[in-house]
Amino acid sequence: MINILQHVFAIISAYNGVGLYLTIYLLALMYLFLSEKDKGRRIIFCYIAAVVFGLIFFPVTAYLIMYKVMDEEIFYRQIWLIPCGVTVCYAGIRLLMRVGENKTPKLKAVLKSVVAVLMLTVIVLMGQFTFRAENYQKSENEYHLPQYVIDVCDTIKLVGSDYNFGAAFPASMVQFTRQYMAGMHTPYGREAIVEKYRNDWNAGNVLLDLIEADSYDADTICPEAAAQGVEVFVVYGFKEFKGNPEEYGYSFYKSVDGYDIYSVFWIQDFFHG
Amino acid sequence: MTGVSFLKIALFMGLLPCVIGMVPTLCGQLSGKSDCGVSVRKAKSDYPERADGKTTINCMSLPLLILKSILWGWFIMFALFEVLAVPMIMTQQKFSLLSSIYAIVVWIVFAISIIGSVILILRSGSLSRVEGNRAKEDHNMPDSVSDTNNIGKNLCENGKLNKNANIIPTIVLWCIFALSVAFQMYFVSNYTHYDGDDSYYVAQSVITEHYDTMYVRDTYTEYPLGGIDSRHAFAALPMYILWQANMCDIHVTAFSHSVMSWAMIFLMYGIYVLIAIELFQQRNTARESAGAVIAGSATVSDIGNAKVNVAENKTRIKNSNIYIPIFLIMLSAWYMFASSSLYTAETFALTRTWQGKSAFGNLLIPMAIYLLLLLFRSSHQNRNERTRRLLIFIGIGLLGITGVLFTTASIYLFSLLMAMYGLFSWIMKKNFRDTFFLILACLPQLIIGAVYYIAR
Repeated sequence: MINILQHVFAIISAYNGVGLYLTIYLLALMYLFLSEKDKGRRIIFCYIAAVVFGLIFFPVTAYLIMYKVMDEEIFYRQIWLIPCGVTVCYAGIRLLMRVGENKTPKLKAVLKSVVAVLMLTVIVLMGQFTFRAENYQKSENEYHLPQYVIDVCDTIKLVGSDYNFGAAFPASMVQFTRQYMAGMHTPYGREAIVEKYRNDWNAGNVLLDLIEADSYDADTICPEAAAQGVEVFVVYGFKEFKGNPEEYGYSFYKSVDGYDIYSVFWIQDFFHG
Repeated sequence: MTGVSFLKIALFMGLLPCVIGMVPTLCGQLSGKSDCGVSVRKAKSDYPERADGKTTINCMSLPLLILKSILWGWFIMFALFEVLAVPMIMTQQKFSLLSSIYAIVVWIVFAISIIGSVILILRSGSLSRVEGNRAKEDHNMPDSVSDTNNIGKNLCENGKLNKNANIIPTIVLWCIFALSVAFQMYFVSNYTHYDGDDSYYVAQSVITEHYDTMYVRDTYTEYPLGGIDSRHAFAALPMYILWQANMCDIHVTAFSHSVMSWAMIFLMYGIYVLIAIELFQQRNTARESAGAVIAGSATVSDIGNAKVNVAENKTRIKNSNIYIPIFLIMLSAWYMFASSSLYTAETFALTRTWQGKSAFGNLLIPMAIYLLLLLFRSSHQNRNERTRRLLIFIGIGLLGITGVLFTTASIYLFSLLMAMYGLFSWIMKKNFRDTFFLILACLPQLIIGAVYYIAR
C-alpha cells in the first residue's frame, strides 16, 4: 500500500513538474469550495475534483485503476477530468468581480485592472512558456519533419515498381521516415531507440547498433543488413566506412544531406532521386 | 498548400460541419409559448412569448450561431465516423470503402441539415432578434438572451450605444483574446514540436493510405500483424484525419501537423467561449423568482424582494460582458504557460494538438463540462425546455462516442465523469431524472466499450 502511495505521489509530482500548476489550482479550488453557491458549478468545479483526487490517492482505487482499468503510464490522465484552467480562471474572475466593491466607479476600474494584471502575472510565472526553444523549432517544411528525412526518402522512393523493399535508418531518422513515406518495411522502429523499450522489451536491434557505431565495416554491416532483409540502408556520412560493400551485393548510391545511402544493385535503377 | 486546398479546407472543415450542426443549434434556440398553459415570461423558459403563439428562433449573434453549429457539426461528424469505422476496421475492410461510405453519409446528413434548417426557420415564422432596449426594460427577460444577445442588448439603449456598457474596453479585450489565439495557431503551424508518438499515429495514417488497409500492419516495421491491432483500432482518429486530408488533397502528415492543429485550437477556444458565456452571463433575479413561485418553491414576497434587486442586476448585467474576454485571456495565458510538465492537458493541447489524447483532454472534456453546466440549470417545464434538454443528452451521447474515437481510455474516463456528475446531481436535485437520462446517453459509448474489451 505504501508502495502504491509512493508511486502515486511520484506520478503527481511529475504531473506538476516545475512550477506552481497544482498549487494555484488547489488555491482556486479551495476558494470555490468556500464561495461558490451555484449547485451545478459546485458539482463540476468542486465535488468532481474531490472525487477524482480521492480515487487517485486512495490506495485501493489507485491500485485497481493503475493495474486493472488503465495503465500506470496514463494514470495521470484522470486529472484531465478536472478543468484546472477553467477552475483557476473562474475563481480569479469571481475574485475580480468583488474587487472595489463600494468604491467609486473610477477607483473600482483601476483596482480591477491592477488585480487582473496581477492575476495574469501569477499565471505567467507559475509555469513554463510552452513555446520555448527546447520544445519547438522552426518548421523546415509543411510536413513538420526534418528536411533531411524528406530528401532521403524522396531519393530512395521507387518509381515504376510496387516492390516493398526493406530499409534501415539511423536513430535520428527512425521515427520520421514512415510519417512521410510508406511502402518499405524496416527491421526496427521507434521501440528500438527508446531506452525503456530496449530494456523492458529487449527491443534493440543489432543492425541499428551497427549503424550507430563510431565507424562502419562492410564485413559486419552488409551481412547483417542482408540477414534482416534490408535492401537499402542509410548511414551517417561523417563516419568512416571501411571495406567493400560490393562484395556483399551492396553499393554506395548517393550522399544526401550528410547521410550516405547504400543499396543492392538492382534497386538503384528504380530510385526516384 | 494551394489555394484550392484552402478552399477545400474551408468546405470540409468549416462549411460542412457548420451546416450539419445547424439543425441542433436552431432547435436549441427555439422559443415560444409554454405548452403547460403558463405564460413563458413567468415560467422557467428562456424566451419571450410571441403574440401569435408561434415559436421563434432566437437569433443570437451570428458569430455565436456559427460557432455552435460548427461545434455540433464537428462532434456529429466524429461520432458518425466512429460508428462506421469500428465495424469496418474489425472486419478488415478497405479504407477506401470506409472513406466512400462515410462521404456519402456525411453528404446525406448535410442535405438533411439544409432541409431541416429551412423547415425550422419557415415553421418558426421568423428569426427574431431581441432588441437591447426592450430587453433592458423587461424585468422578466429570460436569461438566455444570455447567450450573448446579452452582449448586444446591453450595448444598445434606445438605439444608441450604451455609455455604461464598457464597449471599448470590451472590444479591446476581445481583440487581445483573438490575437492570443491567432498567435498560438500561427506558432503551431509554423514551428515544429517533434513527438515520438507520431511515429505511431501519423504513420498509421500514412500506411493506411499506401496499403488501403486499416490497423493490420505494424506501424514501426510495416510488416503485417497477422490480425487487427485491436488495442488501437477503436481509436480511429488517424483514419478520420486521413479522410479529411484526402478530401482536402493534402498529405496527411502536413494535414495533421498544420491544418488539424489550427482546427483543434480553434475548436478548443470556441468551446471555452461558450463556457465563458455560460459562467458569466447574469440572470434576471425577478424572472427566476417568478418561476419559483409558479413551481411552488417560493413566495410572492420573494418576487418583491427580487424586484428590488433588479436595478442592481441591470448594472451587473451591463458590466458582466467585460468579464467574458478577461476570463478567456486568462485561460489563453494559462494554456501558454501551463507547460510545467509533459503531462498536463495544456501541454498536450499545444505540442500534440492533432493527437487523439490531446483532443480528449482539450475538446471533449471542456465540451462535456459545458453541456453539464447547461444540464444542471435546465428545466423540463415546457416543450422547448425539454427539447433543449434532449439536445443536451444527445450531445453527451455524441461526446461519448467521439471520446472512443479519440482514445480508448475515454471509455473509463468519460464514464467516470458522467457517473460522478449523475451521482451528485441525483443527491442535490433529489431527482433521478437527469441521472437516468445520462445513463441512457452514455449507453452507446458503453456498448462500444464492451465490444472493445471483448475484442482486445
